[in-house]
Amino acid sequence: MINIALPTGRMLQECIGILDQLGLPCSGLAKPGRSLVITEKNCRYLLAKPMDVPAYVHYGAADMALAGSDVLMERNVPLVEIADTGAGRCRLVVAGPENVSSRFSHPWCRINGLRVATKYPNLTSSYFSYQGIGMEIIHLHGSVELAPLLGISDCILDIVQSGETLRANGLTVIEEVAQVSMRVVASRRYTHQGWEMISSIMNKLGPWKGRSYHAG
Amino acid sequence: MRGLPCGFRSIGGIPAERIERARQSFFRVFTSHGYSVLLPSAVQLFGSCWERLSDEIRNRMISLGTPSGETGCLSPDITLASVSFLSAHYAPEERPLRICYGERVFRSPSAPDNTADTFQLGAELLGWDGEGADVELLTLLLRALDVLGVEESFVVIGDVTILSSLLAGLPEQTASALRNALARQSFPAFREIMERAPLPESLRSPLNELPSLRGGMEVLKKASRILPRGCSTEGVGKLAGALCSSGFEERVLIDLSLARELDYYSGPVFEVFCGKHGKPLGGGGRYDGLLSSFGMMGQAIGFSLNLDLILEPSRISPARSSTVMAWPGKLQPDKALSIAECITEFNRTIEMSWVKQRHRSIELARRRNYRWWTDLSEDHVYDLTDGSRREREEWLKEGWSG
Repeated sequence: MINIALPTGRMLQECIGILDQLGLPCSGLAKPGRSLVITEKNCRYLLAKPMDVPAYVHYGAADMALAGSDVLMERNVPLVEIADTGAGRCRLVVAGPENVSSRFSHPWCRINGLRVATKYPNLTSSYFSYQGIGMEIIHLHGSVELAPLLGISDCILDIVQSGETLRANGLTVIEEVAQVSMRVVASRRYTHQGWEMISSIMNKLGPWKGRSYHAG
Repeated sequence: MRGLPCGFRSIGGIPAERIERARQSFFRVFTSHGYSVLLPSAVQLFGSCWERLSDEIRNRMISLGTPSGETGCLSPDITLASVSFLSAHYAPEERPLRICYGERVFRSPSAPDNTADTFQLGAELLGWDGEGADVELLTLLLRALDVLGVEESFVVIGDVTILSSLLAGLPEQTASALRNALARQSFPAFREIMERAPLPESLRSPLNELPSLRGGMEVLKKASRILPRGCSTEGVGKLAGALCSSGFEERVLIDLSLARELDYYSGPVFEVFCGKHGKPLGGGGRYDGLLSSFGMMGQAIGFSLNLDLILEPSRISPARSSTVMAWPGKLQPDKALSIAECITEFNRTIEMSWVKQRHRSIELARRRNYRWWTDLSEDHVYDLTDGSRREREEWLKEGWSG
């Protein structure tokens, strides 16, 4: 039996597609109802909040997981990153209104002390402190684009796919922090005990891909 | 008033007894093979640790000022303290040296954990040349895991010189990026660096295959076809082979891409896992280079295990379950204590309860999860699990039975 942690919410559909591509049984995942543990043949799926997925693998409750690279960067849990599936591709960016955007084109001293609203406090802290910039971080759990509109923050650090939401709220991309996509991760233990399974996954996903990120 | 700084723990009661029992069990395995117990200082010199530890641990060192004005840190790694002690206290002719320890190490918490202090069990063997020392240490390690009741434990063996040989001719920046990607265990990042870096064609295939050179002994055959001549797997092969011949073949795996977080390893390295945890329980390896940095020549090998992780899934039961609670009944304290003393001579642990009411004494024994209760003014012992009564003399002769 292999235990696989998956993120709930909109990423779950992407995950089902990946599992299907890998040839893993996943028909029961389409309509999980309120169940958080779904067993299909030799696979047990654990449905968790996206930010909690790495912890389930780290503590050994799950052998493998599908997790966004944004979540992996934010949680910074020591897991083995097996492959980049390329699914759910988007960008992690700093965005803000035009007047803040122009401050980023000047020397860094013009942006020191800016307030950044984000769902990724650790990543944001690491990204700016690596560049020697002191920022005030405002940790929000969603609808981050609201913060500059209401004057709570000067800019945001968030994921963006098409850019529609940013434009609708008068924000523009200032700089790209990292490319984001869905990754296959495994626990250190499972990469030894379940190497056959892992290598078959790597073979099915084709050539390994990878994207580094600039933070830290 | 807050009792403790965030991340630090005082441990008492049953968890403390479990830790102490585990330490004693671990020490028994090693001291019976000539290892002596080391009690290292909880504070080390900051500079000495900074020079020798990896970036990951440096960033987590907890510094403090010493009374003499030096910059110190709470001990982040006991191997360093051990080698420092041995280099200062023993002459070369006194080697080989064997030590074991069970102490706390201190590092700032790293996600998702939130404790700054962990208990480490470990052992170091300095001064024996050849693979005998490596086999001895790993054999005792596996035996200790059994004694500690760690289920489904296994070791993964690698050799850091394999990666070093492969990277030897590359520009430092590329070599370092590849090494870091493997240490971070990110295969996509490792692959991406390989694709971008100007690598000689002869290196592409071995580096590409390196992360997949893991599994049982058959990996060594595969490696001999893939790795260039300079990359010897002989050390790993002999070590893994000797452990398999010693009856541990089900518990030995090989990973030729294994890169430990500490920079001081210079030969075979290993990590220890068990069935319950995703992360390693600990690990170790050969650190001849570290030894020479302390002015000592020769071979050294050691390991450390995270005792907090070991105790979670293990079968080690709290010592108190075998304790008998003794109530003096109608006896005067001196007479009661004298009978209690006789009971302890039979290797029984006893706790006196001086309450006046018999039922309150029994309640207390139950709350403490004790199995046995006795009224010292009578000749019986009661088993609180089923309420049965036994003759005390007969019970004492039976010996310890949990």
